[in-house]
Amino acid sequence: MSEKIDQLYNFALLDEDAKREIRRKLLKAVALPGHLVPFASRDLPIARGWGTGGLQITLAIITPDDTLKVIDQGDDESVNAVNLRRLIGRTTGVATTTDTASASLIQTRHRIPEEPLRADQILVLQVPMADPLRWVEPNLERATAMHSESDYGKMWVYMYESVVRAGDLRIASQYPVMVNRRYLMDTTPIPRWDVPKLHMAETLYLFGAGREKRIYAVPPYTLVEPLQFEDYPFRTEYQPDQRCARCGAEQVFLTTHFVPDASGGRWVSTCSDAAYCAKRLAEAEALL
Amino acid sequence: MGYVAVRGGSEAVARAEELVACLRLLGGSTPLQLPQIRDQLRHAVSRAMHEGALYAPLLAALAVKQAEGDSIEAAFLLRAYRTTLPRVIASLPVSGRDMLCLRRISASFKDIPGGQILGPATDYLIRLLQPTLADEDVAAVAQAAEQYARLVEMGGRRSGEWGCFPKVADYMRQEKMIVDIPAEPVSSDPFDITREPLTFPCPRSARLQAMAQADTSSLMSFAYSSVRGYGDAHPTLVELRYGYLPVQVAHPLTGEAITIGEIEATEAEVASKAHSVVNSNEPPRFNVGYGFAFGQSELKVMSMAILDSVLTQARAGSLSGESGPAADEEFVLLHCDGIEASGFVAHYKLPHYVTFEADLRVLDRARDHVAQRPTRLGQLVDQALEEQV
Amino acid sequence: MTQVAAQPTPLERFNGHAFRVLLDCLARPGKIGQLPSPPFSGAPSVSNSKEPNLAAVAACMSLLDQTVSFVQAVDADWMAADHPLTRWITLRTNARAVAPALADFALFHDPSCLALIGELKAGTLLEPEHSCTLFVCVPGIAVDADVTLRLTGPGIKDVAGVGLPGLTQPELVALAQRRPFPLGIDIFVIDQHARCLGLPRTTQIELVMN
Ligand SMILES: [Zn+2]
Repeated sequence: MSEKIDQLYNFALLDEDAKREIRRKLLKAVALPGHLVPFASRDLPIARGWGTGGLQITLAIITPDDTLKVIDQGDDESVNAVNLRRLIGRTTGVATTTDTASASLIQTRHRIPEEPLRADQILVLQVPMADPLRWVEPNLERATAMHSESDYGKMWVYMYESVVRAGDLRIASQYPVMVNRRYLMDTTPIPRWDVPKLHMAETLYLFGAGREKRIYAVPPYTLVEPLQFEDYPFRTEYQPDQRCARCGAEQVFLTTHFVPDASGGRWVSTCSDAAYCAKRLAEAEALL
Repeated sequence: MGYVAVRGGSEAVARAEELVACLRLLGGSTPLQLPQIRDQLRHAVSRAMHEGALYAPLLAALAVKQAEGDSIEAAFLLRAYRTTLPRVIASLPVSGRDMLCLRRISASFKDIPGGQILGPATDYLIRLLQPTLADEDVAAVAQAAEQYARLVEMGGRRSGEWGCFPKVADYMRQEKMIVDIPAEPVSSDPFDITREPLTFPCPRSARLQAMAQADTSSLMSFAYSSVRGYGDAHPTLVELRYGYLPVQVAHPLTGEAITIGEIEATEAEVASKAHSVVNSNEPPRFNVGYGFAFGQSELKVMSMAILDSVLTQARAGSLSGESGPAADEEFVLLHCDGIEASGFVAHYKLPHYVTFEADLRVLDRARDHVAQRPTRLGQLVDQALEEQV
Repeated sequence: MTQVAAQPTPLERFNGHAFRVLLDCLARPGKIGQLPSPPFSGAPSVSNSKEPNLAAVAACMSLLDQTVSFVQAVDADWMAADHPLTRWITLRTNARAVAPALADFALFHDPSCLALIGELKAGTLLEPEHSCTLFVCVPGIAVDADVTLRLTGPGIKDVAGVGLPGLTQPELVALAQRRPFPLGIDIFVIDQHARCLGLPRTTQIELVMN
């Protein structure tokens, strides 16, 4: 196709009205930390459930001056991250990076980068479920009423039952938190390890659920407290003996994978934040 | 570096795209032309259009070709294209009364004003494979044209009002057999679920729009569950019509109605046996459910009309969900969209290494908990025994 | 990588940049943002003696379209729907000019209008987001000296201080009056130098007596 026909699309794909709607809703989301704001959620050329909510936020806020990073499972090279970055890149022409520190805008699925984020950065999280009450009240009309009254008794019962049955709060990822002591919020399937990063952070966190058509936000310096019991406090996945098999980092979230070698192969744990791991390795090599 | 193999996503995504593009033609057969798909795979094209919520037969044919016949994928392609189009103007309300019918039937009355017209119905076909279709050639095209002309001749069409019929539902309204859902206040633009979030309770126009672009099979399953016994729907088909509908817009300057084209569409109305009471001063009447879809899509409009009737009944009696899952408006409307459902079900193919790792940690702790249980019991027993001593 | 989209027009570029400033200011109450220069001029006067603060008008307009409504006020009074500036904004955004209690957006051309803030909608418990977003034009915003407001709440590390020189005591009191969360009005204060201060409904505002 010729260059002219190729440029049929608007900057950042969405039309200006769609961007404006998302921008208006984002302002309300920031003013109501943790509250689910409904939005129209346009159809996109990628499938529902594959990051359309995060993508719409990114497309609505991105400017030509931004430097973008896209990760999935903490990895810039994960196929879905590649695909989303390709779409955003082709419709905006913005610079992209894998270096967390160099990015002004980061879109992510399932992880918050290990490197501390700054005030001049925005993290956009892709959200599958949006409503933390879904497990105890799937009906949206009733769940919305419960949120409006801060009526979270059912959730506490659910948490208590999980303690009785499993000896721990059974929720692994997507851990529910209270935001600003008012709204119960779904942290998206980030591991528990990442949950404390939301609390009194320097960065603005924006959450987009495309299929569920909801936007929400956690502003910087906002109280984000995981649900927990006095005798069963919130614990992350951290284990005292954990260590990245590649870069040696200890205070990180690790994932396990298979590495083939001469003797057939073995299972190892490495940083799920691939760019962070690579950066540490490069720094170590530079010192040698 | 042993880690390269599990990375390299950019490369893999690009190669996958190329592989998909190759596979379609690897069999060596002649590439399909779009008019062939539009004319000879009519129902696939219709389905792509109503589920993709875009009336564009040739584009739909392209979508069917690109999706290699996958109905949800074809609809998805059209949706993703539609979202980039500006919404220039809303048409004037289109009424099924103006349809040029190729087919119209009623199951409520034996004879109806204007008469029953079976038209191109597949309902009474004997489902035997036709081996002659296997090696059809161009001669068949000319034969089909001749045959069609003969059939039209035999149908004895009258000039002038050909194809236009009064609606059965209008007669039933006149006789106070059925009651309509009170119309929503007329605003300048109709509710559009692609522009406004669908929140509950939702207006009926939003319900109808959601179902009109829903996955046909999902609507069918919900409707089936309700008529089979997980609910108390007892629908009777008031009328089903299929044909061509003129679409008009108001001239932006003069306000005059101008026909901008016609669409091929199917429409159904069903009456529910459940008595509907609007207010206590009125005698009970049947309620009516409505279904509409582009193309000849009878299963879709029947399913939609049944569900509309069931949901109206549930809303009126504040019985959401009590007469089976299909009577729960949220349940039906939030799970009937093929694009959303397929996307989410398929997303489990995406890597979930992080959440799975987190799940494993929780599993470890649960195992520890279970492993400690006998020890604890043992401790209690020991303690009890000690106290006895 | 093949580009399939055009670069933004000057107005789209402004809207995009202005939004990032507004978002940053609302997320960090007390931080003073700098709005970009509006890509247009020639807006009608607000009154005989007053030209509009174009940065504030443009920032407000960047969020308006046919799906939302707005209202304007000057000299402690609501402006009529047929005011030249109202019509000018409607023509360019398609947003509807409506009564104060219905408005999604409000534009106060001077601080005296803060007396009217109670008439704007604050949302409901079920839909607290259905509340008005207010733009208030002020002469200046001071950061270092002359602190008149002490701010606390989400987005603020401990406490933030800002000054709004030229505002009378009743105007400051009206600004500081917040409704019970989650109801409330979200406010952008914009000065003559296109500097912007965000005051979301979560921000508690305390007046500092000098
Ligand atoms: Zn590492």
